[in-house]
Amino acid sequence: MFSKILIKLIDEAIVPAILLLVVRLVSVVLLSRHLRIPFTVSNSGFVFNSPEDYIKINSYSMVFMLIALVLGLSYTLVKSFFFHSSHITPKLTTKVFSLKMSSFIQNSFELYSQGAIWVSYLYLLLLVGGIMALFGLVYPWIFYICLGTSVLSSVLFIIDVEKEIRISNMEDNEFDYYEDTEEELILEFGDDYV
Amino acid sequence: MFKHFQKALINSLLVVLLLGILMMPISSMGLMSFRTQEEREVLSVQDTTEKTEENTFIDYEKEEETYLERILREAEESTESTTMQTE
Repeated sequence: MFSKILIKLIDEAIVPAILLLVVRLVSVVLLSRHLRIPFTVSNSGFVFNSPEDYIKINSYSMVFMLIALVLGLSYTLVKSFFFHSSHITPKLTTKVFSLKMSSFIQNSFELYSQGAIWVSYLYLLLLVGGIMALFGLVYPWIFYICLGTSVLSSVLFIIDVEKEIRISNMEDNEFDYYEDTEEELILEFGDDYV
Repeated sequence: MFKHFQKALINSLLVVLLLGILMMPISSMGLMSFRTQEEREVLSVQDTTEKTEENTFIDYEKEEETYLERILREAEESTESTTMQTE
């Protein structure tokens, strides 16, 4: 009855939403304290005494949000490129299992739903940043950084999706199995090891 | 037919929920504002101001009373002077 994709997307969207919200609020307070900019908290949120103070805090707070987004995106991209269940190397698989970090290995459904959410947040930030830069509410360079990050992350995700499509279209006889020339790894799985 | 409608309704509610979650951190960006020049010039009760002639309290009733008294006095003086001239 419920759409599996929608449930998954909602599930994946909660953590980044809370993270970004916390980063925004905490960064506004800490930056105001650090830069000694006074503000009052009223019904309309944080109220600054001058537009210059507002622009400064708004811009740097947006940079912190962008950093949080880039960290989340990088984590997802690293998993997509190196720990994707469809193309993870056998050597890395053994290492991941020996370190008991098998949760790192995820399938396309898990990875692309995470990626779609993080990229959506980045595009929304780009959109809002663009509008704010247009009206002079943030420094214009914030928008250019958002744009660069969005383009770069989109290209990297497209590369991974293309790789995935290529793998899914491959025939069985096209897979190459290489002989492992490096030293042999022996896995020990606790007390069950014989 | 009804089953499909129910499914579509639930899924559209899920879409709304997803969009709401997506918009939540972005809407937090609107939690900031600044005072305009006009707003900054408005005096608040908490503001400390120096007591000058401009902001001293004016008793308009008393001012009106003195003004009327002055007019009456001037009128009386003018009538007195005209009677003296005729005499």
